[in-house]
Amino acid sequence: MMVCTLAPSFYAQKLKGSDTVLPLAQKEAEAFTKKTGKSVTVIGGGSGVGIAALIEGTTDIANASRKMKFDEKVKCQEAGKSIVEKIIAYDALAIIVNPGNPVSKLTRAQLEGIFTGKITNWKQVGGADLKIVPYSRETSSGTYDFIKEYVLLNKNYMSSILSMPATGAIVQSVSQTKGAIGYVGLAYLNKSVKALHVSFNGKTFVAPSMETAMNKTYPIVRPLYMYYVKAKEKNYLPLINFILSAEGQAIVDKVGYVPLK
Amino acid sequence: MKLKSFTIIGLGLVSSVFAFSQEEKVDSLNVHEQRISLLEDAATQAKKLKFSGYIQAEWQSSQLDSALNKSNDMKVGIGINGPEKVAGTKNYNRYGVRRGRLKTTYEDFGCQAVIEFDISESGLKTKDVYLNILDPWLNTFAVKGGVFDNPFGYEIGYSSSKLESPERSRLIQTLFPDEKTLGSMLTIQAPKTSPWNVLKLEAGLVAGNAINKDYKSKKDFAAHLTYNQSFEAMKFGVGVSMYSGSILQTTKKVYTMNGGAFAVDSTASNLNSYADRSYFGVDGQFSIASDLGLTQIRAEYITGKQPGASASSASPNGYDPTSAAVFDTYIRPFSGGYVNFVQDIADTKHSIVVKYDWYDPNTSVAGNQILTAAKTGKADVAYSTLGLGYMYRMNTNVRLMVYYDMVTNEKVAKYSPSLKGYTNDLADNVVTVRFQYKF
Repeated sequence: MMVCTLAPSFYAQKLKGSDTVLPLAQKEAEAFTKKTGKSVTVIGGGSGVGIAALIEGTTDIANASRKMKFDEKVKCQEAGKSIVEKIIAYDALAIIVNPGNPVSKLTRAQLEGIFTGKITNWKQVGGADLKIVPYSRETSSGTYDFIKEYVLLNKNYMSSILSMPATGAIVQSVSQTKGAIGYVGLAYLNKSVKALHVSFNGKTFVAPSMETAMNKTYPIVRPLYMYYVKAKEKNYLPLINFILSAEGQAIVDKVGYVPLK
Repeated sequence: MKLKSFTIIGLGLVSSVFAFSQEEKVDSLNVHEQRISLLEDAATQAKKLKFSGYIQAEWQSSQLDSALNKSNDMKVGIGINGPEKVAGTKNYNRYGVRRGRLKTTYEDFGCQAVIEFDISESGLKTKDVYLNILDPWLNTFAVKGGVFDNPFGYEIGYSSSKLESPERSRLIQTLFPDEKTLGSMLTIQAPKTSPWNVLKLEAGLVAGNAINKDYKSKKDFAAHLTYNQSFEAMKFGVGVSMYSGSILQTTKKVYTMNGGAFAVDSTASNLNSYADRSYFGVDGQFSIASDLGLTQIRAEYITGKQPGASASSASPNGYDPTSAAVFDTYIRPFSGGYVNFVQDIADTKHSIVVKYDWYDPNTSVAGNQILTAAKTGKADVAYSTLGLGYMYRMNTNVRLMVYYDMVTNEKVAKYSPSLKGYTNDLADNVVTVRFQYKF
């Protein structure tokens, strides 16, 4: 769990949740504080953790890389809270492997086979004779849910998959393990890992990048959300409007996410 | 030489001061790290122990019929008395704390210990007292022991703090007094990462005497199997339940329905044998979120055989055969259920509730046969209740409920002192206004 406190103050607005949204939220908060003098605290932990905190009332805004689940909506209703959902950016999810892995492209079906445990060796997908070591986020992660729904078509991850508490931990593990494969948001890509080209139709393989996400040729793209309680909207609108403004969306682009327009 | 000495001493002093201040900084950092570590440890320990609860303070008013029958649905206050017993009195009302629950849960290593009390002007009562142990290898099997909710149906386990009507359905209140039982239970549910997580089986061996001491070696068996699926905007679940239990027969006379009336079996071996107490139930729940708001529909149906007494079909609640008066056993085929509909008004804090519940304690006899058919009486009268309610969720903790129960009873064919007023539908509708604070 990463914590970033900028200009800490007793009255700091609190943002909590998605590790995918975290780097973006940190930069937006930094720029917002610089501009307005109003302090903002940003914490990770996963989309599920953020939304639970919003329901409990221990955070002002929940960052999420997935939509609120039905049970979460029911809990909000029971708590007498009407929730507002805002899409702040889009994110391309990169499938990463160790840089020493000769495999450079996979289809959706192959990814499903790997993460569900049906494909266990890289040689089955054109690589070396090497055991596949899949990494995943924990169940509280929106990225975990998105990959399960969109790439695995709601099939369950293999029971022995290695669950990591944060995106950074996946990057580190994949960079250090020869047969490893994992998934991370575009903003977390660095030279220590290799991003695969992905195809959903079995013919066109596309690498994840800002361009391919914006022109929609890269298939694994999802919205990033911020949720807050409607009754306190006027407290949060300055920050939300800043993020949605041209200045805020330029930060989205700079950090490595896909702006709304 | 002297200058050299002074220089060396001076340098030594300066460097020792410098080293001391560096040490101070490092020590200060260590102290902070230790403090943070201590606080983190304390926070981790504190998270294991949780307190929760709720208070329901209410005002109820019931119609009074000409026979001045006390309402079956007034759950607070003492029965009618004094000026309320004057003929022509149309209604009576009472204040009360319907529930004052305090629950403590300690959880670590996937295991829990739970203690819950109910505190009100009526006194202190035990509700839950159990331990639950989850297997650390598969995270699939859990064993529970103590006093807990009967593993049967849906409404029993649905928290009273969430209930959208003042009370559970009449059927549940009769078959499972206080909803709880003493016993042991096995829960089988695969972890969330498994596709089998949608199924859950709860099966237990229980005493069948509500929240009271166990009085028999022959335990009851209760089980509930459910299937639940959740999607982005909707959720549904279905379940089946069974209860296979028994009641000790304390006389040799056992009455069962035959040809529309009770027939007695006076075989000597009936004394100290057990009468079957068997239920079968199905339940279903459906919820959907839309621009209209959250819509929830729940329904349950239970049928079976209920051993009871002449004057009551209720399940045992504190039965002690070593001290209780003996009673003949009446075995009745019964059925009942409810349909509960809740509609939130868009994304406001308001909701409307409509609930219909029915209970026929003896399906072998119609209302106009009661008193005519041998040995039938008050315990055989069927009821149905249509409830209309309004809820306002002020905030996370506070909820207001205003509810009107329209109770209808089966009409009997003729007058009897034990069934005064029952030749008509009794005037026994109830209004409930309840404030709840949940924490």
